[in-house]
Amino acid sequence: MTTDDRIAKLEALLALVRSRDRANGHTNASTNGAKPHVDDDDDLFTMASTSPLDAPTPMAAFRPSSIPPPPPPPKFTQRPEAPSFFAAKPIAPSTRAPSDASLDRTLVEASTSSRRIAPRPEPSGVRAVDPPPMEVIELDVDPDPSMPPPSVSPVSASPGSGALRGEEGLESRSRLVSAPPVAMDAIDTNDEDYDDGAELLDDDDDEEPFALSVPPGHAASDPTIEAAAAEVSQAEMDAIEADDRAPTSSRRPISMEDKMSELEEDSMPLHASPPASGKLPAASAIELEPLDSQPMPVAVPVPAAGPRLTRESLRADSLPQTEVAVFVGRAPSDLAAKTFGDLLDATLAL
Amino acid sequence: MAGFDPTHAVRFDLPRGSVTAGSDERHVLLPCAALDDLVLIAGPEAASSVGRALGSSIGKRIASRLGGADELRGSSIERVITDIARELAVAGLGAVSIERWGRALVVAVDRPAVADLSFLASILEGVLEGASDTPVRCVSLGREGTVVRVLVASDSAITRARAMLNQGAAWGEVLARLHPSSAKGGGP
Repeated sequence: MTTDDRIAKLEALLALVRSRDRANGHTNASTNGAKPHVDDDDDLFTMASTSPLDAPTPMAAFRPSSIPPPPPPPKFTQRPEAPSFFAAKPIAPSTRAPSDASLDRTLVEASTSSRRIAPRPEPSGVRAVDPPPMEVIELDVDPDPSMPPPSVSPVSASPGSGALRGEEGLESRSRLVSAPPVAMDAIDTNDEDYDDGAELLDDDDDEEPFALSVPPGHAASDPTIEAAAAEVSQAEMDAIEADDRAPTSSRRPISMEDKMSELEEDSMPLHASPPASGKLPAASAIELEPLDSQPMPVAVPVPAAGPRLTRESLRADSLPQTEVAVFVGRAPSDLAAKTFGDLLDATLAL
Repeated sequence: MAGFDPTHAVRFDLPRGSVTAGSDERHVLLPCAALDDLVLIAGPEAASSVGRALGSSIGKRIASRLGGADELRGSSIERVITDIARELAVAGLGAVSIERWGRALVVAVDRPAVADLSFLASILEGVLEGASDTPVRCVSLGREGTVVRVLVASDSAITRARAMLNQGAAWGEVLARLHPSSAKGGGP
């Protein structure tokens, strides 16, 4: 390759990079302060597991609390055995002059950088294991009128589906697919088949809308979210809306007048009416007649219903007049003092 | 023989500052508390002498009024007791009555003016000796309510009665035990 050809390729690559930057508004480059470092041209799609960002921050790098230090850049680590197509793709071009072969691949990669390329499994000696039936959960995503319609990525938008960018694009449905757990031994460790960039270049002409999918043999045990565009017709939408609509009983309008009329129509009372409150009824007036005109009522003994009892008393006969007391002997005559002298002599005789 | 007439029984001669009662005998109004202090300080024998002297003057007045001691002994019990009670009432010594328990003569004094019962018994001894001109001994049987009973008896009977009272015998038991067993009479 001559120098002119090399310059032409570089200019074409630079033009593509500029056009993409204008489209993206340099969002990635401005928000991410740390650019990933690409060590080699052959590893543009992979990042080294030990990047300089992983080095510990020296103590002198800490600043006073008034000025918070910049947030640490995200660490991108990857298992060595993981497929390379899961790795993040660097957007910034390399700062070193690449070789001719790498420039060709870089130019092709830059032209298709915004696509998500799903590697197709190569026929290998490992027999794919049939996955068990998957549980599919359908989610209805209604388009938000306040938000602008999502831009269809150039990868997912095929020429044949260009007509769907309008209304049908809003009716797309996302589908959550949870994959059943798969044994790890069934996973083929040969990643070379999926890291082949030539294979990806061959699939560029495929206009089929593709989605992120995992080969059956490499199905991860973690649930995988598969976002697939589904075309739903208007009839299906109506049916879905009819199913999602609230039942008729809940949508029936309720008015207070109807309720009141229903209550009035009930002839059977639920409970007895409470006693009437207010003034107590006055007693009926009694007409009193003067006492002079009417004799006093006399209590008339009412004969008892039982046998009539009469009082009978018995009295003892009076005693005959007889001398009850009997005196025996005579009182001592010496005690019968007649004068004070006799009394004084009797007491002095003691 | 006239009875006791309390009219002008006590005469207060203010210009002379004297009090006379009975037959122009001068008296002194003396507080009862002072009399009790005097009895308490003088002792039993001196108090007995004072009491006997006080009572003897009262008895002699009664006897003179009744015509002497012999006339008094021949008088009825009611009349003699009446004069004695009136004289003691004018002197302010208390209300006097007599009780007869068998042969024993008991003088009952209601609300006496003196607190010492032995002193009161000495006054009564003086009254009876002065009126009858006969040696009489008296001993207090005790206080029952407001009434103080005093036994009138011979000297030997008073000695036995004091012995029994000192032993804690009741006054009724003392009177019963003073009478001989052959004697028939009522008791308390």
